[in-house]
Amino acid sequence: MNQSKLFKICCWFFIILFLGISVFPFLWILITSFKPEVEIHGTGAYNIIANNPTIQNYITVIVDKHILNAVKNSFITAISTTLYVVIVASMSAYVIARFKFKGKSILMGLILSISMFPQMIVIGPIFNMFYKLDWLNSYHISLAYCTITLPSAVWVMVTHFKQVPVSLEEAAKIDGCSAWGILWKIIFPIAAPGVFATAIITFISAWNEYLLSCTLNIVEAMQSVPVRISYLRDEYSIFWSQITAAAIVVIIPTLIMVLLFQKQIVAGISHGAVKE
Amino acid sequence: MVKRMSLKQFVFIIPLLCFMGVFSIYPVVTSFMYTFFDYRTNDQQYNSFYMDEKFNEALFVEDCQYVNYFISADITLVDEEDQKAFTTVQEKVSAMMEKYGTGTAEGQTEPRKMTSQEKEEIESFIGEITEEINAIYAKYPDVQFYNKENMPTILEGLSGSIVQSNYIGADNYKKLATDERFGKALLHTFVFMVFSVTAEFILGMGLALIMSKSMKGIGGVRTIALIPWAIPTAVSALIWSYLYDGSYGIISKIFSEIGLISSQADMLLTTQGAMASAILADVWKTTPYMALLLMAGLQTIDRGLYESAAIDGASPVKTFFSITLPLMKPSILVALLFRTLDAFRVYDLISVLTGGGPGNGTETLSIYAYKLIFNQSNYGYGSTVVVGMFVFVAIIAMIYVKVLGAELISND
Amino acid sequence: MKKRHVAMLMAMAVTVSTVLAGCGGSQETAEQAQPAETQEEGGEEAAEAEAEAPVEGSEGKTVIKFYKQDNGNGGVEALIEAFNSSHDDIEVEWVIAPKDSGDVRSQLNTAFGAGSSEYDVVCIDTVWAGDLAGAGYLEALDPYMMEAGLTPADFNAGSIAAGTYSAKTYAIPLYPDFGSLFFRKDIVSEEDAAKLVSGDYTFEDLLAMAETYCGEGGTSVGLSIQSAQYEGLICNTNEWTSNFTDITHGLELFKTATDAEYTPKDILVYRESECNNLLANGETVFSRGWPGTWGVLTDETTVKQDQIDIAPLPGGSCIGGWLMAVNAYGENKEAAWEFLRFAATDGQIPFCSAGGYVPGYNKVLDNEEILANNVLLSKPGFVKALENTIPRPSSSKYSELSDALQITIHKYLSNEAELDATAAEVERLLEEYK
Repeated sequence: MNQSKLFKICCWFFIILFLGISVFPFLWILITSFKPEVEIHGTGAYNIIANNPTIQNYITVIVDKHILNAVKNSFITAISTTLYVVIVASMSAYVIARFKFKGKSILMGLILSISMFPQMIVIGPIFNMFYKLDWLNSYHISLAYCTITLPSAVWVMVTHFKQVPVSLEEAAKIDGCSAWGILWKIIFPIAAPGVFATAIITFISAWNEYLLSCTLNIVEAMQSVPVRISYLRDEYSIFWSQITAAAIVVIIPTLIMVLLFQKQIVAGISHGAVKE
Repeated sequence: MVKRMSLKQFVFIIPLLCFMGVFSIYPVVTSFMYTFFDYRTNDQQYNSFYMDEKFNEALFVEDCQYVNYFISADITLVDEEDQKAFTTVQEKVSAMMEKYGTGTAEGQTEPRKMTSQEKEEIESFIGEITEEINAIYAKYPDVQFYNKENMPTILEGLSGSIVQSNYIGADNYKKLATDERFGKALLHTFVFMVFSVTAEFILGMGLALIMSKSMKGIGGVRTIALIPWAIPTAVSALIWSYLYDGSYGIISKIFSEIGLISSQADMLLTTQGAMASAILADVWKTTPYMALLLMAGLQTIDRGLYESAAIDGASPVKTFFSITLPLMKPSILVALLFRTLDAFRVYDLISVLTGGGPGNGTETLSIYAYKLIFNQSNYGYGSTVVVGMFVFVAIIAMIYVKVLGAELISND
Repeated sequence: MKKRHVAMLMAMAVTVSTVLAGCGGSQETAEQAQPAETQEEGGEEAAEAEAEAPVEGSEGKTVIKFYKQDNGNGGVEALIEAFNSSHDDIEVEWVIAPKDSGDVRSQLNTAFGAGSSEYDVVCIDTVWAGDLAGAGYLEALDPYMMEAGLTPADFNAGSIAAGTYSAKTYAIPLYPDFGSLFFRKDIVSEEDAAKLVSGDYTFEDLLAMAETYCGEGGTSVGLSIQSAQYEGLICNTNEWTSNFTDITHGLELFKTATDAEYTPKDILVYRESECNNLLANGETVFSRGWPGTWGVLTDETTVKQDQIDIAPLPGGSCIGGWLMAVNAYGENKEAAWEFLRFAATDGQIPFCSAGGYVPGYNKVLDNEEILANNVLLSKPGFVKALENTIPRPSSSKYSELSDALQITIHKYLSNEAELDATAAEVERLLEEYK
């Protein structure tokens, strides 16, 4: 009893310490985002409350710098990427996890080695392709994101699909379920934590992507969040107040999304099914 | 239990194969081809793949025009006899332009094949007019010509219209093997990778264990813990360079106050400081990702095992090492593998924080390759660096799979 | 719990299978799914249409795309406005390039590498001209210039020299930039100020002054210069070594400056923005900058423009700035040239007046409108700097040379190499890449 109490205290200590560290930079940029540029430098740099707090930074990034448009672009590309990647990856992960076939280790090795190449190597050829297809400055960019998202998605899914007991599947088969039905009705729901983890990972990778979107979607109306924020830098000056305000603006939607999804990831699904 | 795949199931992997083929394998194969050529896009002699000699018609015509244009500007400055000589040269040039400019007139811009006869004719033509033009200029050492100095450059450029083969076989790889800068960048990359992945794994494991507990307020904890990961790398790198700033950065201030660094400015100024800063920023950002991957693995462990362990009176620590860790092996493999690969390719973070400095002390392989390809337009050697990088990553990946179990890729 | 999930996933699967229906889920699937998505967003359609605008504009006008960064001073807007209102058959559209020069460079390389006709007129940094021209990406402009009656002598000498590659002119200046010394005239004594403005001083004098005045008037440092490992390091070294003629002595002085107590402690990561911030916040007495530094000082900054004067640098002012070139793959080269010609000559008046730039076209140097709008040109120290510009080392592989020099010099500045070895290495590199 005592031991478990001690364990719990240790747990909470670790939690608070970790959260403190991981939230601190975030808090500090929140504080900075309300400071006028002058107060960020010089003697008042470490004040927690600005002498002249202002929301001008937010107005500037939203109204003049159209950051919300970039948020919308990033959302559309990230969501469409997530959708098709989850489908494509789960289909192949099902086959890889459940069936024997020649060249399976080659396939897995191939998927893995693709994720080993640095992204910059695919930029040139993909730009050529997009240019010839007239896909530059459009949402087609989410197709190109498969290079950075598909490999890890397939691998994560395979590990999770393998954990699903085969017996459930057998039962479904006796009931006359097709392979397609087994995947969507049995495996997909049971491996839900893995599926959600994959979905989130895919979403965030697409959301974070910089090199490709900086090359393929140049026109302001189509820019993604990271590109738009990097445009806040100037050759002659960096406006930290605007960059921090923009960072806060773009964190909020992902924050809401993570808040919504975290329940699904850790939901007690495994209790029901896996234990039988 | 495990069945052979039939055609019906093969349909399931077709989409994956298509996507990978178009967006990954094709570009990678293309750049692998680059490594066998001296392929540099900032020089017309090298900016394509020439297995044999080619003739750059467009350049030939353009340079011929320049020869005539330069002569026209200078022709009034010589005496009558040499004016005639200049005109003869111009006529010769015009004739050649007409003869060899057919493709260009039709809008063809790529260098074309050339017969040995054509090559001979072009070379002797260039030699001839070079001699003639130089002879005329040499007669007037004191006259202030407009293009006396430009002319040799153009004539030299004219010989450049015969494009040599830039296939160099394994030369790029030989260069790579002796490239000191590659070795150093490799070392920096390894240091970054080992430290950041180790820290992320330990912290991420702890975080995953906690986040998967069902406690009051855990939802909030999970959400907050995932924040850093949701910030785009390009943005978080900018944020960290603000936090590390030597004059008004809060993190550098705190570190210097508690005595970790002797002066606030040291943060990004020493090689070790800059590397540590980059690692810290990376750990901050990607620990949640590691935790998420591990946590999903934790979820699939049967609760019953823990219950029976508790009945047997096993301590939490013992339970962790004898049940949790072994059962999580596949998840750990995947998490470590993908984090290692990511860390090995680190670019955004270091590029924004230090740009490779101080004194190139934090230049990683990605930064080196990026500089070669995008700043110096040296696609051939840049791609070779990338292939070199790939070899090392592949070795790491193989070690992981060997150590942590091959059942994931094996056939059953 | 379980049911809800299944329902949700099924819903997802249904949406998806409608997309997948028909084809075996091959690559076309995703491609087809894409347009459907875009159609749902009415706004994007418009944006996309705009981005993919056909070459023929609205009223049968030829559309020319001008690729340039936005420096936020209204210069480009004024230029394009002036051009569009005076031309009935050509319409110029501005494609805003990234803020980061490195990103601009890689975007251009990628686009040109694909033979893209995406941009008609591109704005490029002086040091890229050689690389881009050598690759055959840029149109040689001499025939056009001849026809328009322009000669290289009509433009800023240093700038147009940077746009010349193997005796052909590939790029024409939009505006030249050059290094100069910004100082606080409310702190520096009148006598010293006069000495600085006249240009009759050495770097030793400057360092002595920086030490003397450091701490006065609320400042915390005496001098700030760019010394991070990036292109700006070459510009600064160029000035300290008097155009790489006095390498050993110049490097030694440079290091004296970066090591000194009166320069920022983390000066080895300083770029333009850091120096300008220090100046604008009243933390430094002297700061090396480009003409653009002037625009950073506003009514809202701690230090206002009237507290600052400008002096030439002892070793000469490193030339930089931006050039314009015509895309060799462009589909409307004649129209592109027409815009370039305008922007390089008559268009300089609205451009420089609105943006506060120094004109690259010599004929408008004493244009009253520009003079009235560009206070810098009335400052003797600034004009002195303009008269005494020095180019960076020239090489057909400039970017490689620059990269190697940056590493060598930065190593020395961060105490990882000796002076003699560094100077020898710099000499060797300059020789090797000649």
